[in-house]
Amino acid sequence: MKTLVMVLSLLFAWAAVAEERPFAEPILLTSCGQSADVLMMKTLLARDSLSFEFLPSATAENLPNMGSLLIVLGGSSKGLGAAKISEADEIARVTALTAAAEAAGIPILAAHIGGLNRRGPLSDPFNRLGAEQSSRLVVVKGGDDDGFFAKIAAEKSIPLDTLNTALDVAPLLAEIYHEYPSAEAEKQE
Amino acid sequence: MEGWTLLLMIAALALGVFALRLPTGIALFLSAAAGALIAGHGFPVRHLVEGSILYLDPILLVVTSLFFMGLFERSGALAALNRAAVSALGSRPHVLLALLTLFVMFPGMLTGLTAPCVLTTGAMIAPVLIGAGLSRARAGAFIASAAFFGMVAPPVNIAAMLICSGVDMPYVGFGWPLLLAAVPLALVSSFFIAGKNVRGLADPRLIEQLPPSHFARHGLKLYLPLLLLLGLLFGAKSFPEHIPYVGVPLMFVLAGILGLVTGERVRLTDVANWAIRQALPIVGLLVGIGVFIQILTLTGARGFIVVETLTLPPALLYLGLALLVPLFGGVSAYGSSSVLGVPLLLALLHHNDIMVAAAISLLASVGDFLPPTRLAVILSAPVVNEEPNRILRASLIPILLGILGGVAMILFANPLARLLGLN
Amino acid sequence: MIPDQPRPPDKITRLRGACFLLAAGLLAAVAARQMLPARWDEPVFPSRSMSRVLRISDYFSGLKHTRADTEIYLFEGREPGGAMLVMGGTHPNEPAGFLTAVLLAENLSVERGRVFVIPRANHSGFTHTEPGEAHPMSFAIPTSAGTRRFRCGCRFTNPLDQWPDPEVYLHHPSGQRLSGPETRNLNRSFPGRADGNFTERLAFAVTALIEREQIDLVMDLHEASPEYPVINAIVAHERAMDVAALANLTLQAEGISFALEPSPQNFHGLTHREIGDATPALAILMESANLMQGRLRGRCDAGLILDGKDPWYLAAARAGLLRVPYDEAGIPLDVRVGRHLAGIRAITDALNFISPDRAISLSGIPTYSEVQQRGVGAFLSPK
Ligand SMILES: [Zn+2]
Repeated sequence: MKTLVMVLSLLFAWAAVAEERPFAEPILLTSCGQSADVLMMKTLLARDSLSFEFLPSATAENLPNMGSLLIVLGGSSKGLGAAKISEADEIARVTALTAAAEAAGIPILAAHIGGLNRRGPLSDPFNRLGAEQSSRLVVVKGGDDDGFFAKIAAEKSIPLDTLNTALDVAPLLAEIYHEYPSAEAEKQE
Repeated sequence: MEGWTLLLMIAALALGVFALRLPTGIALFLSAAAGALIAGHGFPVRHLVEGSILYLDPILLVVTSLFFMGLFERSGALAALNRAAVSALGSRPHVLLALLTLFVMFPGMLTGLTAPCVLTTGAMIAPVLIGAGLSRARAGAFIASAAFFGMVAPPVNIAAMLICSGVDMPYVGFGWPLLLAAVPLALVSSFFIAGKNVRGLADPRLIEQLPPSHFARHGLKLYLPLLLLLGLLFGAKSFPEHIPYVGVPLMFVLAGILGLVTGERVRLTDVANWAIRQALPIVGLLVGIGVFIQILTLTGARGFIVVETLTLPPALLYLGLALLVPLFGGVSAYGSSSVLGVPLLLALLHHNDIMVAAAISLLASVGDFLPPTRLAVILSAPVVNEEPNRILRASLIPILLGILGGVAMILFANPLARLLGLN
Repeated sequence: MIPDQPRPPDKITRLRGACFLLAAGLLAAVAARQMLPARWDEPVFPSRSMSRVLRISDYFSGLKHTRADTEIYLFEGREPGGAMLVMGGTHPNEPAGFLTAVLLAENLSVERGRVFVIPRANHSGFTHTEPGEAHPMSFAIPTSAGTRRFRCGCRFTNPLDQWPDPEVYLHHPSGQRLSGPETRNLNRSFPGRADGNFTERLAFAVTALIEREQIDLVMDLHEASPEYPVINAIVAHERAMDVAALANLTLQAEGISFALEPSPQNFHGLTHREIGDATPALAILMESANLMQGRLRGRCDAGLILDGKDPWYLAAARAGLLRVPYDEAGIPLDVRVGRHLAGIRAITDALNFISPDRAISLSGIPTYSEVQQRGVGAFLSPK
């Protein structure tokens, strides 16, 4: 329970910072690889007053009026033959989505928050795609022990933040988003 | 240490089989006991006994299918069936040969085992093959080959199912891949083995060489045991709500008993005795394999085999697949697919999983030809009255085709899967 | 051609045959004697705050006087609240799941709501071991009041209770096809049926309990081999995802890493899928890494269950074949039980936060670090 209280207070603290609308709202939250980690991100966002739309299989049609795109990386692994998503379809969807976002000038944040569990052959094709297309990359420790993301970040000159746990994503997002004016703020100007 | 245990067990097995000329089953048991001792487990009675029942169900299947076949032959039904088949299709020998292949494969498609193929449908057609001019060794190879592909063919492929269980995949979508893996290779193998003797099937003298038929005396009644068997098999599968599943061994026994009253007079005890005698070497072999596998696992020699295979450099991995999976299959096809197949599938995740599982099941099943057990060969030896080693030598084509086919299915898993509409 | 009967055996053959029979009988008798303890339930000493011991046959009388009947420990808080079911031993060859449920029953106290604990969900599976796997029959845990033995059973129902297996197991009601022995796998038999086979009837009884007791949260405790993709995982039904995601964030903050996995829509018979679909309960399953279940393990004995150290797994880890971090420290039972306990706490906390009206308040569960410091034995002393 103690940890949960800490978790929640951290979340609410972030919510307080986020009140200042430092980043373009609303956020389009989607997955690259369909791992359930996107739900952890949703939980992180849901405790906040930021507006976001959660569409695990978002496409370019969902982009208009969005201030930013948040992609959670990692493949799903339960039951090889079972929860089958076609790797090719998923990669095509994310490729089209990120291309459209780039064309519309919508910044893309890619987050890998599942650690070592979201590495390996079932996840890495998605990890690579999402990371390479991002304008900023966030990785929770354990997911980058072999320097997979560091290498991509260096090659593509993408700013990379390495965090201890997924919870640290919250304050970091507040900080990152602060650098950009929100979409609504822009309209007001 | 585990490597040395494995080496010692293999050496003891070779010593028992080749130098001391012990039955393979007993040699397997003794080498297992030696392995346990050297690995510091003493004489682990519980493990020796537990391993011996690993293949209880296949053992029952072997005994009861022989019982059924014994009655089916002695009641006169077998001779009648052979004459009917030859006289109906003798003029089209290629079609007949293909049908004979599928006929032998049939019980394996339903049970996922080679034993019922060789011992029932294989034994049924052996006189036709030999009558057509195939040498006894080639007739044995023909039967063993069709039985091997029958074990791989859908709907029931137990090796593939075991891989599925190991990785939590439903056994779904295997129909086409397994059909592709089994039927074309089975037909090619049959025609290669039969060679120019195919034409022997059209020889009018063939029918005279077959045992005399009692069809005139008993009529269609002769075939009732076969019909009952098929009825029980398909009934339980098609209407599980109405026909209880009693197990294939009991189905063989029930159908066999019906044979007591449908043809020539047969004494039950004669057939039962005969079936046990025929089954005994095979039963001993299956018991020995079970014990051997249990001790491989206990001592860690199994882990040694698996890790050494998986950590082969990528270039050698496919070679390892092509050789080690069938070789371990020589101990047990099921053991190989479950023990090597599951981690291999997990290591080959970038390939289509259904194709890989189907391919590994094919490779592991090749082991049914290979030493130390040579199960399919050993089974067909008494059916055609021939030395197992001669049958093995005549079986080179299906062995090679099985291995090449399996490796090709893995290498081209993704394009093949797209072709078959998997994914 | 079927060859004719060989000539009748001579005297020496007969004598040799008799000797073989005698030797085989002797071996079987000794083995039977050694296997007998698998029939006896190890004692469980529930904590003082337990209110009642129930049996699964209380929910489906069809299981009375069968080996499927198993004890359920009920803990009732003074305040009304939600209800939770913790299942261990769904797979009796997964010691951490079984032992976590025992430890829970022996230490738990409930202030609010109700908690049902089933340590031996597939009781029949505890009465035998799986041929070919060479598992030890039991393992020993040292406690302050002496050593306690716990059985290591088989993943499947005892064939003495359900046999023969069909060639293909058709799951009811989905019709999904699995290999024959899976018909005796409790975690492939849910939701079960009253007129089904032995294992399906057991699954039916568990489902009946969940419905009758209006269980809000089901936690099924498992282990899997370190090369298996879903490992160190929390698998949750879609309705349980919010609770599981919040719990997983908490666990990650505590330094305990779990992979969050959705229950596959089209893989049937498992608790998290079928209980979630058939009842209003939130269904969650947890997996820890057990070397004993793997195919890569070397020498196999009870020590492997306890310390989780194996040279071949180390080699495999170095070759990048495993799905969990693995080094010389191994994955001891203390770690696996500690993870399950931490998971149970985090998931109940998350449930309490998300549905405060159905809150369950627990105490007495040792923390992950307490279990690491003092060992599971410290919490298994008979009271
Ligand atoms: Zn399990």
